Amino acid sequence: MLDRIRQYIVMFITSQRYMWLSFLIYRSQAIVWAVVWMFSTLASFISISVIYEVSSGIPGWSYYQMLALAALSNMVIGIVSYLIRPWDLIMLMRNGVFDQFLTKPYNTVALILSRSGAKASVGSIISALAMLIYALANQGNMSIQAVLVAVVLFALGAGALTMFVVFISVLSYVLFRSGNYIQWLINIAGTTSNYPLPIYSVAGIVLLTLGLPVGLATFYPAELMFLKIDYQLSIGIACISVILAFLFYKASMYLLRFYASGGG
Amino acid sequence: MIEAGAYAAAFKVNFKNMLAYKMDIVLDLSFTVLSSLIFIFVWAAVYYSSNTNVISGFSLNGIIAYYIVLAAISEVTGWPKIINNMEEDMKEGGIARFLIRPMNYTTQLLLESVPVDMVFFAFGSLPILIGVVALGHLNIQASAVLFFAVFMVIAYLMINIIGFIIGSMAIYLTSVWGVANAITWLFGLAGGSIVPLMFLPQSVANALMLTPFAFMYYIPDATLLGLIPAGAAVQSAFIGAFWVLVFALLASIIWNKAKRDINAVGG
Repeated sequence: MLDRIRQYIVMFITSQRYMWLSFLIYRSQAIVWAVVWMFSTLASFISISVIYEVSSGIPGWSYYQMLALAALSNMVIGIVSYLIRPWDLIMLMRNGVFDQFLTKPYNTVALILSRSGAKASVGSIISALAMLIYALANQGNMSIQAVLVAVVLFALGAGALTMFVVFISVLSYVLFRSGNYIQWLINIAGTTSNYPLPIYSVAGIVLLTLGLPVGLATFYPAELMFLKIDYQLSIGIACISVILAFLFYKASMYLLRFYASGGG
Repeated sequence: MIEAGAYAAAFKVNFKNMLAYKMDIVLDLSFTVLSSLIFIFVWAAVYYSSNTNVISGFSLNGIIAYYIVLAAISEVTGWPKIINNMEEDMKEGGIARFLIRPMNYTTQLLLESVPVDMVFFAFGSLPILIGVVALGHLNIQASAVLFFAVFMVIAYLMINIIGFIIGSMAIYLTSVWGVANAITWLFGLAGGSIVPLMFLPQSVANALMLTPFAFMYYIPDATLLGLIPAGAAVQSAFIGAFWVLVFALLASIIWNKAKRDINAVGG
């Protein structure tokens, strides 16, 4: 078992090394792309700052709490995008390169996550991390225990969202052989999760928790971080994340059976 | 001299091609409206918690109208489609095929991108605009509609000329998507697509009104909603026309330089 895990880690690191080298061949472009990814964090920072400058803000959330929530949102979108780029995956499936994934002695979803992400999204992860640290440092009165549990909740939520994107990408390939809209969907998810879910009504809360599960990695960890929910509820949220990740994984593996080699 | 019929035929073919991707149009429209809807939810929460009807001169109804009109504007000015075609032509070498045709390359690009924008305007922007005016019971003056049309033309020309400049750079850079994304983001941020410029500090907003950024979203939007009086709109129209000329001049210089550096091998 441990040996198998080690093999997967080596495979992931090797794939990442190759992808980073490919990405850095055109250094100026790599820098431009990383900066572009940082813009989404900047946009969140500016819009939240303006809202709190001209009004009393979002009910129940202080300025720094909102910045922390937006930081988690940008970070999770960055992480998901680092692991999977739907458009690339569907192109690999359309032009037949995906055949190579099926012949390797590794889990197909693991191979997808190690070979199809956007490396420039580290720009978003780094800028969001900086904003999170800034927000938490200024918020004060933080419970270290709550922050640590929130980190676990965030990781599980990020896993559920990643599996959702894998699932929707494969489903989109099976149904339409195309998936340009998935990136838009991810962008919309990112913007939506910059703000607390209750502002989108009950339907919005349900949709962004169970349908497009971005809230699992953003809203609930932020709520726990600022002790707006208790640990018992956070265990429930963690369970939902694990169950959803498993279901999306299983559904993706099932849908991959409908992959038709395109030659190439 | 090429016949006008040839232009019309090329335009018709591209228009029909675009209509073939109905799902793309529907999805694009849905996501654009959804983006605006998010900000409407956010500002509604802000207004309700602030116990006020007006923030920085905007009522809640006003801000809802602002973001809905923004969705209509974004359909046309959100992304210069000309970039997609130019980058592909440069990378794949198709540029050589276009340059030997008895039709100017810029004209060919316009014949490809204008039908796409027309489809998005007809099936995206127009229904949104009609909807917001009809359902929002907005009191819109005829002069505001006229100035809105003028500003939309300015914004359309500006974004496409900027797209042409970025596309021309594809000869030197392998991919211009990063630059294009950075610039469209900047226009969105400084142009009022995320936060209306009226919410920014007065000095910043005034400075941005003189830059090309404001012409992409805020000025057309605010003009239609009557937030910019006719006198100021005339002044803005001249400023907008000035920027269009500046960008056109820049595009001409860059394209003339880039054209000389094109090397197409094989085919």
